[in-house]
Amino acid sequence: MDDHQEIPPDLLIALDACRADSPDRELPEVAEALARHPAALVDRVRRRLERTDRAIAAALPRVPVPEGLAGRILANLAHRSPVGDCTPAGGAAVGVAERSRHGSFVRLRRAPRLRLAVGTAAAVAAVALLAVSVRPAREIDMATVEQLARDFYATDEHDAELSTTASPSDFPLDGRLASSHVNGWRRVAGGFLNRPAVAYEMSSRGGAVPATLYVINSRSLRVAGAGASPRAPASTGGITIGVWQDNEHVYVLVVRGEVRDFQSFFPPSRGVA
Amino acid sequence: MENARTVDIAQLVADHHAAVFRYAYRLTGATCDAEDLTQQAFLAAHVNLDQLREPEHSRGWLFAILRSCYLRLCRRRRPIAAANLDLDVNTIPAESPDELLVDADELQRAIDDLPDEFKLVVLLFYFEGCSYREISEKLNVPTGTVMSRLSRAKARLRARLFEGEAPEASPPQPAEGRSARPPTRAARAAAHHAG
Repeated sequence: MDDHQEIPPDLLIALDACRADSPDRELPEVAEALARHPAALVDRVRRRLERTDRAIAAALPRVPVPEGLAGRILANLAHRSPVGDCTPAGGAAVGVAERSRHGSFVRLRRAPRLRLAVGTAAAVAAVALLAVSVRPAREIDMATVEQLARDFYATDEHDAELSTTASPSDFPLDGRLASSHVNGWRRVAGGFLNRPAVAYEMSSRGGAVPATLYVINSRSLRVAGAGASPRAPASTGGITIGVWQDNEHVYVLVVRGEVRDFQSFFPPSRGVA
Repeated sequence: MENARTVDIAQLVADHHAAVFRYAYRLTGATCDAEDLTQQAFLAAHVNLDQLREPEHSRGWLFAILRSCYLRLCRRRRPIAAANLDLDVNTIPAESPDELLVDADELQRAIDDLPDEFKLVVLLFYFEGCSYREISEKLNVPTGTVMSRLSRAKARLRARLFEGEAPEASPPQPAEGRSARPPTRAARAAAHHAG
């Protein structure tokens, strides 16, 4: 057979159902269809189809991921209520359709008459977040915390109003940072890493190096590899992040600067481990 | 409570947000819509985290939620008619040792033009690597229907992506050996990459 010979539709359907380099051809529906045609024809069409399948499968995941997406997802998890149960066996969604400005896709907008229901859902979500915070202790690795902190910091509300009253006793400022200038503190709406948290906006070197210290309630969270002092802070893209923990809290210091700027927040005698 | 000890939404986000977004982008065809859909999927996952029975299958579980969110939203827009999606047996490029190149923009446009029931089948096949039987189970559609949709959708993609590559579409070659064929999408993709 040459490439110009027309391919029987039933053969094409059977072979199109098979994944490249898989035993799918042995499945009864396919095997039965393939048996009706000469083996050489089957093999030739299969090779041609698999060539295109590989090209398409390789191209599909080539999609750039927006920067800071993980942080925005976590922030939304903390701030937003569910718009509907989208699990496969879920119930009806709450919302009405609105045509997207950017395409034919539609997005949900809450209907005014459903605000009460959504408000209730928000309360349920808040309870769910609290439930997360009292789950048994679990570990999260240092690299994940640093990446999430980087994303979270990029979208955090640094211009939110700060409290200049005494630090909240349940989210104390680490004593090693006491010499830094603290502009004030704020509760992180929705928490950090799905845990209750407070953010201290601070600076060093006379205000030249700004930073945010997140103090996270960590009764149900341990960061693997984090010690009692920040060790080997991760620095990239002009942001340096250090993570440490004690029995009650995880501390994440995000400094807008390099490692030496990060170290400027710690007195030499009590500094970075 | 077993899941609560081993699965955390922050970890799920860290591990899978990129893959979920890429899938969402292929479904919606627009970055902003894909991010909205990704957000909704993780929101639903968060609320239903206790339904994740096997943490090692988190990605498939998230993909299922994503598809479900997408389908719910799709019900609110006018569907693309499937009537014109004929099975075309003349869309398969000839055998060649050369790697086929796919124009990324054309691929998305081709997916966008598929009716949703075909789009889902194609993405389950290519993106998730599901067999037609697995697709049948996930979508609750008979295997014969899945096979038919798969073949028709793939034929459409081939026609859009590899036009000019199919042997039936090839005019006779000039005696000088210089191709008189217009540049294929693959050739344009290669030129684009080179440029």
